[in-house]
Amino acid sequence: MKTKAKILVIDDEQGIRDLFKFLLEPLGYQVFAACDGLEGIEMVKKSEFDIIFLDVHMPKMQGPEVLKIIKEMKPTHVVIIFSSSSDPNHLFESKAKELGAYTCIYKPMDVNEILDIINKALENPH
Amino acid sequence: MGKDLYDSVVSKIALITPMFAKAIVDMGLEKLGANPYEVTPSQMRIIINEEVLPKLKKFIRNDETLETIGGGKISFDSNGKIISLNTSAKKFLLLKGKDLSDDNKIYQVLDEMGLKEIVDSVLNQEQEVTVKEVELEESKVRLNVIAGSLKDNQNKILGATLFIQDITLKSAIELEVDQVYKRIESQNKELLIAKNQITVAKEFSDNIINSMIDSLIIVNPEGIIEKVNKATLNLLGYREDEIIGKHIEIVFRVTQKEEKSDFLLFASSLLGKEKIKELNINRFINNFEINYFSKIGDIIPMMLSISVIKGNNGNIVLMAKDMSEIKHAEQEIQQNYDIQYVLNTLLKLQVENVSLNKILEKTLDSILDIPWLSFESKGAIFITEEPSILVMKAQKNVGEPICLACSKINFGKCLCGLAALKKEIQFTDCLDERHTTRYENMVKHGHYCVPITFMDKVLGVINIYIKAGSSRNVEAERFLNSIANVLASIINRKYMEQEKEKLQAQFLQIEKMAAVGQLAGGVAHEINNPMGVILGFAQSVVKNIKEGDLLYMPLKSIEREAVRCKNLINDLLVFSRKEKSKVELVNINIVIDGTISLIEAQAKLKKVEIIKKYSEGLPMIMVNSNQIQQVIVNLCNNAMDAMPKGGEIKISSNIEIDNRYINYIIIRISDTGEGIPNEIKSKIFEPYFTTKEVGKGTGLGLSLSYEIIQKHNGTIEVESPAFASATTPLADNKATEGKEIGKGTTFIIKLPVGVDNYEN
Repeated sequence: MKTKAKILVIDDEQGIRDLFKFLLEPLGYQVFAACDGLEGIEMVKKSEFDIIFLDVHMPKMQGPEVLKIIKEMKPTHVVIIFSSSSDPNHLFESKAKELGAYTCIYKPMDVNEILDIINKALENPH
Repeated sequence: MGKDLYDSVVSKIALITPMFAKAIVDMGLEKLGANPYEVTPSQMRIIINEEVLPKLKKFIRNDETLETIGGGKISFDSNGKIISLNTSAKKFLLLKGKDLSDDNKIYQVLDEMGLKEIVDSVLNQEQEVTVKEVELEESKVRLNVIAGSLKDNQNKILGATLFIQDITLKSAIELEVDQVYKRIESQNKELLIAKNQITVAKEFSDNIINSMIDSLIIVNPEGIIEKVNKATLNLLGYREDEIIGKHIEIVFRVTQKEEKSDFLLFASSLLGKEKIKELNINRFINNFEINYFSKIGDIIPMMLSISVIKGNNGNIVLMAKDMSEIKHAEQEIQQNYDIQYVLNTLLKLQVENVSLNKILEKTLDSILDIPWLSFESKGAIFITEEPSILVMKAQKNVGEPICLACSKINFGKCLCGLAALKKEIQFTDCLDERHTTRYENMVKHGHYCVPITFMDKVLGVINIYIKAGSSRNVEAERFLNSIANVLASIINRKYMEQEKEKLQAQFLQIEKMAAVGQLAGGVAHEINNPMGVILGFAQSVVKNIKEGDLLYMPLKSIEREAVRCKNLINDLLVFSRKEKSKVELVNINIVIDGTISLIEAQAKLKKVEIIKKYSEGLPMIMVNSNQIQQVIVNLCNNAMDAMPKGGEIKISSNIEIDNRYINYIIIRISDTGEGIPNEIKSKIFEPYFTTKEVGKGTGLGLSLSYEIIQKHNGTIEVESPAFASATTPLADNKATEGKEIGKGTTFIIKLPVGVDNYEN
């Protein structure tokens, strides 16, 4: 298990950003946060991240658009998108995957689910 | 006529011979074979000349009482000098009253009597014989004088002879005969004329009387009918012999309406069999309205004029015109007017947007106000409410006992119920066996119960009270039917308006629900963020503390509840997002479970326990799970509404195979409410049918559910033990209070197992 992995959380919700820091930093992850898509893109431009958590519904720029730009800049980056809507027929998920998302998780997400996905993505990013 | 002639002749002869006058004439009559009564003037002449006069002469000669009756004879020579003069002649000459002492004086008298000239006429050969009648004014004697010449063989005039005969009696008798005859003739003529006139007049008047269209009755002063015309017989239906000689009271009677009038005085005296004469009625009574009665008792309105025939025993002529048709026409006009007036009132009320109850009240008032219908001022109007129940909505003067007894009437019960059930007017003039409603102090009466029908549907009943024993009136029924028809269309329109309002409210409700659904989706979406934070932190913290820690349990609780919220929100999102969900192969138990989570909170609030009984190992089924959820939510909501005091909802899933070997997934949803009345069981799946208060239900839930299940090729049925709603009114909440758990309602949804059952 790769330690000191760099994780970026792009979400306009402060609670979510704080949660990721609170959850992951004690576990040895470096957690960075951006409060909207533009800020996130700037940060991705400047540095490399092991995993990027990207919210769908955000002001200024929506998740899928941000995903597209990040994937153009850094095609190898693992981007996990989270949706606050339900997706009973997995339409959104498949669309996100088409755009290069690693997977899709749904709010309110389970902490253990987050940890599982991080581990999985770090072990097998593709 | 003969008798007059006979008497006259006999009386004249009696001047001469009083004792034998009659005998002489009778002998003459006998000879001719005539009799005093039929003797004609010509027969009488023959009798006078051939019988009476010869006998009278003989009688007089024998008696020598009247010498003058014999002939007088005076002879003259050719110079006109008197040769001889008999006694009779002398007596005739003496009649002149002159002195006849010398011949000169005789010549003078002859000259005065005009006899000289007739002697001269024969002496002068102017005439062979000259006849002259001489009347002596002084003695009223009538003489017949004949002068003839006396000639020798050579036709030379030797002298003249004058014969004088007294014809006074003969002339007098003959004159008398002539006069009597003339008189008789003229009398006969007059009689004949009069007789003809009478016959003609009688025929004429009879013809006129009988050709009259109007009734004519002649009564005597005692009121006895003496004559009637044909029109009267036709009008009243009597034969002539049935009415003549009867008292006029069989034709008409007097009512007190005409109090103090000439007519009343007159008629009551007539009917009271007093003498009209004493009443001193000597003028016409014209155009008095009265009713005649026919033989079979029909009432015929008449316009009567009365006149008294003077000088004919005071008989009274009653001339009357049959006013039936005019009355009928008048009545019809009045009735039509009244009907139109009432209908106009109703239509006006309808336009004025007055409430239905107000319209019913006004209708009742208008009906009861019409005088010619002779209704009691008492009645009610019922409106069909729940199927087959009449509810009293308007009433006038019926009083409390009836209001209570008849507030609700089942179809078929009592007269109103029968009218509604049979869809035809019920008439009764008494409290017959149909009138099943009874209450204290009920007074005898009758009814018209008129159904108000629209398109073969009974919308209500008009109930009108009539006096006991009233006869059934066609006009009244016609009128009530017209009112019922207009009321029907008004009620129907009101219902349509109400329906429209309800629909509008429902559409608003649907729109609102759609908006709420959308809003719920959006809100749920927004809740997910804070929920994620709450859940995440709780889980994160719990990871860092041990189970014995003081904060462990609270944090675990936060986590657990947050997870519940998550699931709830997820279900809500699925439910609210209609259009996006599709037909998919699902486990029906999961669909049901997801639905129940949505209604559990509400169920708790309403003290309803939800009991799940799923069969394990059911086959997967192709459904639109969102729609199936909608059906389950609807049914559960209805179940909760049916149990205002709380209860149980049992939801079970099962599999069944029918006789065609088709597998069905069966979902049963039962409640412990009071069930559905039989009457409305067939209607619950109709769109917009609802038993809930306005605004509380759309009436669409079950119809939509029905549609959804039909789209899945399935069926939805209801099972509810029968109960009679009339004995347990739905509105009465007490009904459920004291009872043990209600019989309940079960909805059974059958969904065929198989692929592609859903009609898209």
